[in-house]
Amino acid sequence: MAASESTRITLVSNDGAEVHVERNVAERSMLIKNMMEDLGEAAMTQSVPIPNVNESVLKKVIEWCEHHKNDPPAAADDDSDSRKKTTDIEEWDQKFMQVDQEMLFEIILASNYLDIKPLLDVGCKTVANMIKGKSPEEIRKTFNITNDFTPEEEEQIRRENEWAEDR
Amino acid sequence: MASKAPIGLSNLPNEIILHILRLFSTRDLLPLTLLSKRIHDLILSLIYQRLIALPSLPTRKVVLECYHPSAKLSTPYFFCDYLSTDVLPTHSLSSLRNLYSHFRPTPPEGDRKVWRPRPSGGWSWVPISDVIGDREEELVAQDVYLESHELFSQLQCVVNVVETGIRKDLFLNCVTVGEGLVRVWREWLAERAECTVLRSGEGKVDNEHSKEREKEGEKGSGLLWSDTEKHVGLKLRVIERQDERIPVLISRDEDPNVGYTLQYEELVVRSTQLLLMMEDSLDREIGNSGKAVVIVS
Repeated sequence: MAASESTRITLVSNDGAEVHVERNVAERSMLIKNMMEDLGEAAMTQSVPIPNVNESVLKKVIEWCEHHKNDPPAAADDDSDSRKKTTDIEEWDQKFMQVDQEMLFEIILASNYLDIKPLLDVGCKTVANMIKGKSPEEIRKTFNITNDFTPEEEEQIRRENEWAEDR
Repeated sequence: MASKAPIGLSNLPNEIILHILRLFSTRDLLPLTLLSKRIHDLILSLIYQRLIALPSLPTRKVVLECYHPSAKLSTPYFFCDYLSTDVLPTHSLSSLRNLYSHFRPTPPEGDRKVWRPRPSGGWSWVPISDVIGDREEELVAQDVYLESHELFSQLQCVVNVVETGIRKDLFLNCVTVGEGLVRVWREWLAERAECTVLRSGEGKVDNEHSKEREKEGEKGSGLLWSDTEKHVGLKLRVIERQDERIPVLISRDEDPNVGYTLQYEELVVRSTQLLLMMEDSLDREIGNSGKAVVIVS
């Protein structure tokens, strides 16, 4: 156990940069963890290509894994529960997520690809918090979403929505 | 691959957008349907999934209370078994709104007790089997009587969703989904009772008849709405009771006293309403988590 903690492996981003990282940090990613198990000893000597993630994003993701390397494994995921914790993002994570929008979405995509569920959750919660309390028009502006409804369609949906407002 | 458009919310894969949307309550999701066609469709399927999943929550039970206003304290409540939810006919919010979840009220089990008025005055606490009797029918039933001057009888109808604890009759949480007054009219009762006789008399299906009945639609199915918004409805089977005393003299323009047994075939609840109310109650629960409100019934 003690030996494996200090083992370092090499990840290679899609723009060819080598990133050295402790094995147990990298194994926050279920993708890498499974890969390590499949490769066995060979993984120690070879570098591991991460074809979907560039260097800056990979480093950012590893920074997160570094900070969370001692987290207890997540309890069995409970989707019905997740809603109540929307705004709960721990302080360190909140600071970590103070990045520009493109980086935020890159982190989300990378954590999805690398299968790091807690990081994916934090990313999605950050986006949800950016959506909350805004009007549809403001949200479209914030995220650069094209409104592809005709004015008639939009009016129709607005009408179909009314039932949620009366309690 | 070299030059990529900047990544934004719009070009995230569906699974991730859904992951984000799942963090919102249904009430908060609806305004977001205006964002774009793709998000609209994703939200719709997400809400539909929630509707389908809702009734199978193991610790939540739909409870029906239906009583004549004068018998509020003495009429037992009924747990309802989930039967089905309508299938979404078209992919639109309005058809989602028109979906109903179907439940069947079940006779109380075990040694539940209810309050009954004593002939000598006051109330006594008696086992429920004394009240509803050992009916052979599986359906829960209620008797109504109309005296000659009465045109209708009223039933107060309340549908709650409760969270049950270890004991089934100990509610940890209770939220009212719908509440209303159902009027059962003399004419309607007679009509429905005739229908019941016809149905049982036919034995199997007489095609022409059944088609006619289909055409009658809601009115013909014995469905009564308890509220103007049509959130909660009861599908009733009406059986005329033979035990009503026939008065010696009836003048020609006077209606006779009548008695009917109403069997609750089905309780229908607007699915979206059920979902909204359940979510509201969950939110409240989170608001005061740790403190449980116990209502013993």
